[in-house]
Amino acid sequence: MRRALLETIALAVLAAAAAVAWNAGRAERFPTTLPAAFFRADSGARPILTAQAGKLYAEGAIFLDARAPDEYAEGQIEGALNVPVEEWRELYPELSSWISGSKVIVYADPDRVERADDLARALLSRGAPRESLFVLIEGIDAWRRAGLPSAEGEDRVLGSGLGSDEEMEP
Amino acid sequence: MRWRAAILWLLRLGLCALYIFAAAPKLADPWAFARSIHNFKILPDGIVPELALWLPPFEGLAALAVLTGLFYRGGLLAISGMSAAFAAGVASAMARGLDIDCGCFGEAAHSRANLPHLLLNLASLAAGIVLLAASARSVRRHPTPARSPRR
Repeated sequence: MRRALLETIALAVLAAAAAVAWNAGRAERFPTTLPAAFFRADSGARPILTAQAGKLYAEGAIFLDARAPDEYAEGQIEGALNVPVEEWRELYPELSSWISGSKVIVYADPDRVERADDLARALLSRGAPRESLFVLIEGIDAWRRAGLPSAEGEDRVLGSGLGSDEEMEP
Repeated sequence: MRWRAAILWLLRLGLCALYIFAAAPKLADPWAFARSIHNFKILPDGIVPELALWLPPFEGLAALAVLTGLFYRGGLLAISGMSAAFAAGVASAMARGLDIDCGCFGEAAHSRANLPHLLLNLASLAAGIVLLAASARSVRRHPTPARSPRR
């Protein structure tokens, strides 16, 4: 029994080494500490960290700001569309044409990730593919801290004629 | 005694297949596995990411150890221990009325923490114990020279 126990410990150590190597080789490294918001976001959309979201931003992903319009106006991810979660049903017809076929990243404030998660849940309920729908679990604060593109103003609020202007293309 | 050896081989292959099948999707998506662990509300969130990274390779390596015979008894002990822990987790979730995805075979399998999964874990625990006992009996019958009692 003692030998079996030693072998089990050896397997456990090998597994730890394998886990480190496997994670190092992943395109998106899994963090060894997760933000508390991760555990509150359970919509089924894929969680994403700021660094990876920044890469998708550069690739042309659509960002949806689930906060209220006044919060959005105070500062948002540059190019993000404002879709207040309470109004998603009214905005969905317009929104669907924007997000169709794109990678979509939903965000809110980090301490209210539930807003982003609720919007993600709503989009999933309307058939948005899970593999291309993400929740930015660190929220906009980490985005700003990382020095990624941010903007102010209300020029990308859905329901205000957005989409008719060519300059608004994502 | 052929039937006995055949049954032991079937148990061995079954356990290996079960644990490799369980490990692969968790390796591919640690995010989903971390959420499954969290959903049980047993462990502190601080250790969830490490566990989500470590447990799938441990499952896979234990299964490979049993399959190849290298660290055979260690692999069996690991599988038995994991099966006991998983059974306890599922039973605990059921007792608390948690209707959660157990994450046993990855998120896509949508396996719930319910009676069938409790029974599956208990069955794999029983298989592990049977194989460990058979291995111990075999060692007693055919001791290696290093273990032979001195005359």
